[in-house]
Amino acid sequence: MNLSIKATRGSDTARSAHKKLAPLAAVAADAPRTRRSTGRVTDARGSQLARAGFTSSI
Amino acid sequence: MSDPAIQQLVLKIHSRCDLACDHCYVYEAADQTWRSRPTVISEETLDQVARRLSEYVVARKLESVTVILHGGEPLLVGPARLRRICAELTRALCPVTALDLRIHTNGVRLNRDHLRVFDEFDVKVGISLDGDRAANDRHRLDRRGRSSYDRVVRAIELLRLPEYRHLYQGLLCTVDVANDPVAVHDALTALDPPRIDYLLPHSTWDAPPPGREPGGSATPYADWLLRIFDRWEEQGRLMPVRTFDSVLSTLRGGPSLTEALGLAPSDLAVIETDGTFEQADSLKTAYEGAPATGYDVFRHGFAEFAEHPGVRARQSGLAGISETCRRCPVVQSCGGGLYAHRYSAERGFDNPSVFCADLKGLVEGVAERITERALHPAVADADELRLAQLELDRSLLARANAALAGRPEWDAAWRLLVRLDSDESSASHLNTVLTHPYLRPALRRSLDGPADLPRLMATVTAAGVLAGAEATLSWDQPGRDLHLPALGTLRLSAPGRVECAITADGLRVGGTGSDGGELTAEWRPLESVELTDGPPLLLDDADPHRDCYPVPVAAPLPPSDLALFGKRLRAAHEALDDRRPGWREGVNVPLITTVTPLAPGGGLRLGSHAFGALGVAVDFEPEEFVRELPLLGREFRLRALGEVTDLAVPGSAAGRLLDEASAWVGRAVADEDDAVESLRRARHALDALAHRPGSELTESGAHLADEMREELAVPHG
Ligand code: SF4
Repeated sequence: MNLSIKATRGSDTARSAHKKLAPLAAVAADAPRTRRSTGRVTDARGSQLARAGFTSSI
Repeated sequence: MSDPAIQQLVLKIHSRCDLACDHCYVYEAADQTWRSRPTVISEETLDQVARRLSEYVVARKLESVTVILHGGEPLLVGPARLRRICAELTRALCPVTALDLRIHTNGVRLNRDHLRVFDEFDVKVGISLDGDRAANDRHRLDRRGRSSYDRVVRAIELLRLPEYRHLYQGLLCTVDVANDPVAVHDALTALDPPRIDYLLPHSTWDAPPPGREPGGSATPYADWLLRIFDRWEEQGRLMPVRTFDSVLSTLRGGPSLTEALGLAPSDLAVIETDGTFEQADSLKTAYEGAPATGYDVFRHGFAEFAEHPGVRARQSGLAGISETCRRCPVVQSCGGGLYAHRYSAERGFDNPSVFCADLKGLVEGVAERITERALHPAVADADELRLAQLELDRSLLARANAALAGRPEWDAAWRLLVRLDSDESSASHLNTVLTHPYLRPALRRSLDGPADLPRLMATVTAAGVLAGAEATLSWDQPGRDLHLPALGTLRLSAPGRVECAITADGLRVGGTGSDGGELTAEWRPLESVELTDGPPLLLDDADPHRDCYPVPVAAPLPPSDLALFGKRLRAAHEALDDRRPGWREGVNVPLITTVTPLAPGGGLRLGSHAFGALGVAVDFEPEEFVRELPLLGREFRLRALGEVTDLAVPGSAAGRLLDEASAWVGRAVADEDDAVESLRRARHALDALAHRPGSELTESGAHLADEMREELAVPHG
């Protein structure tokens, strides 16, 4: 089946941003800078997944 | 039944060890009860443990439970016995909960026979290794004084084979500050572990840790760990390091990830080879009999164990720690350290950790290292804030790509993304989808646990559709609702292998359902509402990740209700324009692009990590809207800035005071009724902020504080 989906108007940011952004392919996912900046929203773990794990060597 | 449940069981299956590590807490510590215990857990004890645990899991309706096979050295029971133990636990627990079975071993004896058993029962293997050869041989010798290093590394090599890699849980390293930290960390990372845990050596106030030389550093353990932290950062955090991840999580307001740090309630039980319940194993370092409870699986269940005063004491968060710790600025991250490390004969456990100075140094050192101090342009410019938020989502997407690379369906999606991104006009469509607020919760979840591949595939499809790119993507769609973010929902005839062929004219959806039939789809687009002034608002009542508000969201609305909701929203904006003509100007205007209907009674709310989204209850009052939206604008900006830069050192009091000041300044400026009280509180918070050490606020945070002081100075003198 074919759906024709009408394009919504892009946000102003979306249209003006292209020139200022680093190309997606060039974003180094593991670079310290990337980790540092994404860390602000990823470092705090979701409470459901986190568990204060048992810690003991053997 | 509201107490924290016991969800982790450390099960001692063998009470002897084939190594004689001098730092071992079982054999070398105060508690010598191991001498009187059976060497191997009996079938009868094991059956009873399994039965008690499954009863408890059912009574508490636990979705998952972790059982860690431990010792002594658990591999000493031999592969045949090991198989029976795993089989019995699986038989008893798998029908009632998700069983997470693990083993902690010294690795010396690990061979393919063990690994076949672990593969059969999906037992994850954690191995103790103290670093490079020199570091490991400092303590981890066998009874004849021989090195264990080569045997352990051989075991790890086995675990790294493709057929066993999924069983490799990680490495546990006991810190010895006499070792070179970077050499230790590099040696461990060379073994490519999925995670590393650095453990402080077991000590108490009566038996303090080694390494504190007169005239030396007051914080040798913090110094040692922070050198590894720097190395780990420099490597791009190649694998999780639980010690650091826990500090980072708590500094950013999340939960702690290890019992050694933070205030999370203890959810751990230990059962010895004779079936006796003990509290945390590490208590063996404190005094003879310290971990004992007097309970055993033959006479007692887990519920009784959970009621034991010693267990309860470790579940009471702030109330359960020493007075010094309660007043400590880093208590959320440190939590007084590992319980056993607090012990002194004089005061029992009512002390800070014997590692107090080190733990404080570690937390503060990490906080300082992750703080961005320079003034961020987004503080003074809303366009910069939007751009920085978009950049953040693109970085998160790149990280998700790194995690998913190699899966053919995702690789095809990523190629499409890169193609869309390379051309200015298609990139604007891509960025429209990437700026959609509910992508962030999906990306965060994908980085925090198993990736939400269907959601990410749908996101790429949405971008492709908007850009009119030619591409075909297919993936396994687990449910019937396939939501294209920012666009709408495809209701499939069944879940299954969906195929989305994108062309310049639109989208052709096909594929094979799990019922074997050909997939068909109905399309429900998202609506938007045109405002008299400003860009239209997207009404998103369907995105599966919109559930990020502190109150429940409404189910997708029928068309007539949605139209009415949109109308009322437009009228409320008009009322706001009328009553507060200047509200759209200034730095605190809320940058809302998307409104999500909330369940009745929910009021107006901001979502968590959803830049641009506003939740509005389906039964909102226009008065409430006019009053609350400008106030939310301030909170929105503060939160959004906090996601792209640091306003204060994470975890510091200055960050909390800044939030408080902002809330009261907002009320003082807006509140006609109670401006005097709001003003007083705003000034109070700003004064308290001024008395914090200057280094706690970053330049961005100081800019905001100055801005608020000016605001208060103008209208209210
Ligand atoms: S740093 Fe010291 S005082 Fe602070 S919480 Fe940790 S052990 Fe307690």
